[in-house]
Amino acid sequence: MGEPDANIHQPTRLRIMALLSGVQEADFNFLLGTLGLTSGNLSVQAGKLEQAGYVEITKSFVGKIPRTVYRLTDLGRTRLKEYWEAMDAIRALTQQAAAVQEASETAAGRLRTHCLDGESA
Amino acid sequence: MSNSPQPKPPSNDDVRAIPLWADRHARNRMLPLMIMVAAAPVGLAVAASVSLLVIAWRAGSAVQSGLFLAAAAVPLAGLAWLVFTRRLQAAMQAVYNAMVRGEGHVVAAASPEAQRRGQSLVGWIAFVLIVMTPVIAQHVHLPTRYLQPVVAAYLVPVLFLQITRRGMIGGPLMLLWPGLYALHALLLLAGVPLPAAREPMMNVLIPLVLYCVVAMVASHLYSRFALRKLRRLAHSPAADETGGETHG
Repeated sequence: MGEPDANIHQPTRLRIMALLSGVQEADFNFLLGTLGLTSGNLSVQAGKLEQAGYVEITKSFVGKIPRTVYRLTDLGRTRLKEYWEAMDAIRALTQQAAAVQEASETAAGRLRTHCLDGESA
Repeated sequence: MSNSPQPKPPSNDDVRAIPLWADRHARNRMLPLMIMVAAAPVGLAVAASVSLLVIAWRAGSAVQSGLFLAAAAVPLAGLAWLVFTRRLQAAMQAVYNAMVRGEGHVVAAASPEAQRRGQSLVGWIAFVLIVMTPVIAQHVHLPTRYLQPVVAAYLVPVLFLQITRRGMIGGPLMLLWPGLYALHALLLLAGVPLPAAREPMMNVLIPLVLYCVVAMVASHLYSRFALRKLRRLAHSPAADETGGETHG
């Protein structure tokens, strides 16, 4: 089982990627308003995703107004899918471990009760 | 920052639901607004050309018919120019950009079918049939109340296919459009006295536009709901904790 991708694991970046995976593209204002982030935080985290090759950032002008558009790359889409698979595997293992621990605690409790019964007899 | 707390694993289902609600919002928001903007020039061109075609048909002499047909070609050519040179699209995009500047711009993921070329051919055939049906119906003396059901017989499947398979028009709520148009046709066939216009063409076009607007408004309201839901899911205390710093 692989480790979750550290580039995606950070909550803000995960939300940016999750949002972009549902659409073709979104601009800075949309991400800012929807994710409730500060401009600086969004720029920094999106920049890191761009460095990792997960997000493509296009800067242009609409009239005189600058527009920054974000789009998930194919690599980003694949990595996000792998990330969710890794998280599912971790969750399944955690549940399995909890079940094993519960079973061993129950068995230990029974053994203890059995020993105490034996001593008293 | 080396001593900053490790972010919690985002195991909640909220994050996984973000793409779904982002898609629902984007899909329902984009096209209804653009169609509303496009409705004015296209509607005017269609109404003008249809009126002229009807007048041409009614005109007694071949010269008069030819003149009106030539006149009808002007708005139709204008419409074709707007559509094929993408000027209409550019104008719609400019208005749309101005409308959503504050909220931001988002584009729904296009389905593979929608990306195929020649996708508007079916729409153009339907458009020509809509225009020609009243003219032909007048010639064969079809009662006015059967006009809308005749048009609905081929238009409803076309609209249904465009919405469901091509992914061109909004979300599932846009199915209200063919649905209501079909219901209108059934009511007419059942003899229900629905309000009718004197001009035959209007009995076809008014319900078409009216139900389109109903579906667009429903679709747009749903997109607002989807955006609220999306913001609830995407706004996270964990995300805000990181502030403007650069860790991770």
